[in-house]
Amino acid sequence: MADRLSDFMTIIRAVSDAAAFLFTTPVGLAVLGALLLLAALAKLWSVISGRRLAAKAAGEDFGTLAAAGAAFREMAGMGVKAAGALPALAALAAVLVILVGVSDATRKVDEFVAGQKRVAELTATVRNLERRYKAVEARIDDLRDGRILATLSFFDYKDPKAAPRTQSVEIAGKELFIDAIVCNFDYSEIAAGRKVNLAIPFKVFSDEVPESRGISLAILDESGVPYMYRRPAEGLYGIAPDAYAARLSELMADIRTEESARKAGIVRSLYGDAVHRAARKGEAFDVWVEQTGGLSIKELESF
Amino acid sequence: MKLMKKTGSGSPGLGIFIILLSIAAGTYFWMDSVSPAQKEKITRLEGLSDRLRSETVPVKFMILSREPKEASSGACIKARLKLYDLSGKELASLEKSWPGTELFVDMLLMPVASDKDAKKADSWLALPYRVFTDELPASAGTLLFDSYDSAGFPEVLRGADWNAREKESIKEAYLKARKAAGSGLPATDSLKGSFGSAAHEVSSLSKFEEGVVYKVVCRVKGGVEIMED
Repeated sequence: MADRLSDFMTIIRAVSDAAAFLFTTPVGLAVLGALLLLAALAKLWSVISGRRLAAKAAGEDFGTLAAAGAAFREMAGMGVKAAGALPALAALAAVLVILVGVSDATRKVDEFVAGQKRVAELTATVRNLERRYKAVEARIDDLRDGRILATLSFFDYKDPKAAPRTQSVEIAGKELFIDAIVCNFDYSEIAAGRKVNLAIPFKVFSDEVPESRGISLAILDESGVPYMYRRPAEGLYGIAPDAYAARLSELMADIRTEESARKAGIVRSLYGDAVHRAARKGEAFDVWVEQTGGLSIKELESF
Repeated sequence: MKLMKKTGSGSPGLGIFIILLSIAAGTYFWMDSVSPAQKEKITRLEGLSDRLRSETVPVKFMILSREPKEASSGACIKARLKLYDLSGKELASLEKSWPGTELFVDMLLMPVASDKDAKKADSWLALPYRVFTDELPASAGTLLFDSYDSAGFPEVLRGADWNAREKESIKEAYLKARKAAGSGLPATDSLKGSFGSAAHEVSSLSKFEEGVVYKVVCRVKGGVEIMED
């Protein structure tokens, strides 16, 4: 049915385009005028030739004046016929105007539908790029004798009501660094919502304690999946919870080895990123995984 | 009675035709009016999508050599860093060795509003901050702020169409960050809402290869990423 309608619309649009070309463009009008002129000349030629033959058969003279008279009579006849056909021509013109209108209207509907599709695609792209996941919340409990005392909270999306897993750290320095392995996927994957960038926070260090002597973080569950990537069953669409858990564990294992990450082909970059800020007693901040790539720190008050 | 008969015998086809024609004309003009709004929405979304992906590359680097850890000395990394402005013009080059096995390139990210109508900061400006390693604490790292100073303006941000007020704000923030870092304090302490992002290699996962140029990509949303150039 849809195919037939499409074929029908193709014919309507072709007729509409032809009519619009012939009656609204100078070239079209010139072509139309030339065709009408040729047809009229052919008709006149035919009539004059016929009359000449008839005059010859009757042994009469058929001079220029007679030819001109015959042509004039024929042209007058054509004019009378055209005048008689005016209602039909007007009806034809009306039909053509309606055809052009219908064709234009359906084109506008098609453009509108295509535009709505584009809006939906772009909206999804922007939404996917704007997305971010909270990886860690850090709270500076105290600053004492050149040491930072902080509490880090890791969120479990599988059970948002559950208290976040926390870890207290104490480290010398004035600036707290939260180090994570970051896996950024190809933009097309992110924009289409097929992948989300991942970050696995794994260490805390400071401006005075180098990374190699930092404090390891405990953020993986028994399956080796970071808490923030666990999802409740009802929060998963198009994938069974068991399959999601298995795929996630597999992915987490994958990004720990360079070879498998490269093999996946969809990983844009894989590196470490230590986000940091000056420690101020009582302040808290969140570390977010940005879907455009990398990590960012936002103050809790901002959200 | 005659009048009623005349009215009742009116062609229903013509009425239906007029109604259909009115609906078609209404649809046509409605489409005509929504099309510009739809096009404007598409343009805005495309602009937003592009803006979210926009990036700057203020630093590129190459690992020149690595010295493994030995009994008499620790591991060492020799690298060359180059700094660039927003148009990609090279500003400075630095070649140095640092003790350690993993190189950290630290960026300072300052929050800014993308336009005057934005209610809060929604974009980030990135300034190359320092270089350190997994064995060299950040506070003992090599500061980069002085490498791109041009009469108080950070030349890595040259190339954009800043107005006088924006230029002044950038100069002020840059001065505060330099001053803090120069006196041994974290630069993030001097600017509210700012944070640092030290992108680095992870030996067990993806080591920077010698002789390969890597770029430090700074996203407008604040993320910092290291990619092969």
